Amino acid sequence: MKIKNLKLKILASVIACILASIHVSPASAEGISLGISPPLIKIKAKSPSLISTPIIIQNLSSSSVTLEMSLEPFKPKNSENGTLEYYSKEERENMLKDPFYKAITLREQNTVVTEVQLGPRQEKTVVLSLDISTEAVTDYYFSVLFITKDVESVQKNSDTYAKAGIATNVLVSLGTDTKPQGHLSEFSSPGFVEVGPLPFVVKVTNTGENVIAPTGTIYIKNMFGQLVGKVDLQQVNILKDSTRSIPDKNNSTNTQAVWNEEFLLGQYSAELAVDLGPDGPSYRKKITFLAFPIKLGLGIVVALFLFFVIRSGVKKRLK
Amino acid sequence: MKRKLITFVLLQSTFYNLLFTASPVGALTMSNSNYKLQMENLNTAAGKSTGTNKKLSLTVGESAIGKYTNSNFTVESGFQYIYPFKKSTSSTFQFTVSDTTIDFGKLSPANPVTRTSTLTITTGNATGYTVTTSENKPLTAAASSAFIPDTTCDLGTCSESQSGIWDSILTYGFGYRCDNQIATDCAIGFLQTSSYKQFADASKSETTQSIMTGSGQSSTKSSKVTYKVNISSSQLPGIYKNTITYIAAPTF
Repeated sequence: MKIKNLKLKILASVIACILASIHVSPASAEGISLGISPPLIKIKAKSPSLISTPIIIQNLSSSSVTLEMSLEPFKPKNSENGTLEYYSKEERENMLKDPFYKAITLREQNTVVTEVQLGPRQEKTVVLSLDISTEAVTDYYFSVLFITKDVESVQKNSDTYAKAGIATNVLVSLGTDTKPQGHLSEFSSPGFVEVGPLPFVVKVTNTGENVIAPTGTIYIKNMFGQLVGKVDLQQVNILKDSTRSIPDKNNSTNTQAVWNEEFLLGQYSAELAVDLGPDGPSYRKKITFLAFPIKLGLGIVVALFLFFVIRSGVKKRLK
Repeated sequence: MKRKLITFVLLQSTFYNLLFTASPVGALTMSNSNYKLQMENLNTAAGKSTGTNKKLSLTVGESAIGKYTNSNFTVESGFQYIYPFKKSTSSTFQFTVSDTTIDFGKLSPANPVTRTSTLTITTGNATGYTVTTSENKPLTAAASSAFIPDTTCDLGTCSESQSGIWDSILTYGFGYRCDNQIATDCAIGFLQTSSYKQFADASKSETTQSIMTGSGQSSTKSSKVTYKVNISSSQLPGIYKNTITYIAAPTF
């Protein structure tokens, strides 16, 4: 292909550039995608300590983004499944006056920053620094939030601008090692089941000053005393003054520990052994439940009934 | 001649498009002092938690996730160092909002407008998550300060925490609903297809509300958010705007 006229060539190139640039411009309705790692940081420290730990923030979208960073104290939600709940604006402002929060900084390349700019598909490391000088024995729970900055809408229509924020959670326990305090607040299962899997509810309450992460196992025995099943509990964080449901290690739900056995028959006993910490205290509780596959039983009864009816009919005919 | 010219323009435009819009190759790393293109392996650009009594050091190039101890503190970073399972799972927790600008067009009385966008979560090695939402204020016209109130639904009973049926074109306001796409993580209250809620209004110090909650490591969850706005004939004409904030937080 040859175009002899040079002016035409230049004009064509300019048009091509304009077409391309129109396509490259980010659309106003473009979305935002963020990634963060790690999603949870757990710190146990005593004064004086200066701790720095990195957080990696990713912009997974194809346009640049400016993220504002902030600390957001949280408490466990009443759902008792590890979901958090943020405080109201007034409560948050009061909590952030605590010297502990005032001594926290976020740094990018050793410079204290309050926002971070990320190009398309860029990631950056922000360092969370905690200067711990209090002798108090207590816990602090907060999220480090990265939220897209407000953008002045240029739309000439009515619209809503959606901001996206992503968080990593930080659990800080201050003070010397204290023995975990708490109790087993619930261990239950359905009293009667037809078939498995069988869900257990295990709830532990933390009454101490520091977060605890209990370990535990449910041992299931049949009516002959034979061990027929074992459910390892997931090691979850239970914040101070709260109760949490503990799931199984497979985390199929976040509120129940599930014994994945399909066929159940007879009386079973389930014994829970849970340790609130490596050196205790330990708790044990035993429950029993009955299992009978009613549908299968009815099927067998009907089959037997039909068998005897047919047999008696055959016998009568033979006579 | 014309055909040749058009072909030339199209070829050049395609070339420029490829040049400027091609996605970066995963393994490619380009960086200078303040810019670094994303790499496939997240951990390689991370740092290590360190420190001692009033002594600070940072070692870039090691993983952000891990367990670090000294005499005064312990830092456990990442779920696999706190909960010992699924060590192969990616540690990255991700959140996507499909559209940042929800354009309602020109609003006209008793003509409800609905728009949708999608929220997507990838849990990585987090064991669960919650997405909360709130608005900075009701849809407000900058010029007149007039605003479109948050809907109270057909029976006048819905709020930021309570859903209600919103079918009538004579019910005015602004609200949203959530529909499950991948998994069933939408907040309760949206079982009926015309159930709506208000966004929690930060200007009134209303508590932010959960719109999605779910559990499970290494899983992707997705929900569709439908925004609905309807104005009355007495609503002042204008360009109404507000900001909705979605915050995705992993469980602890």
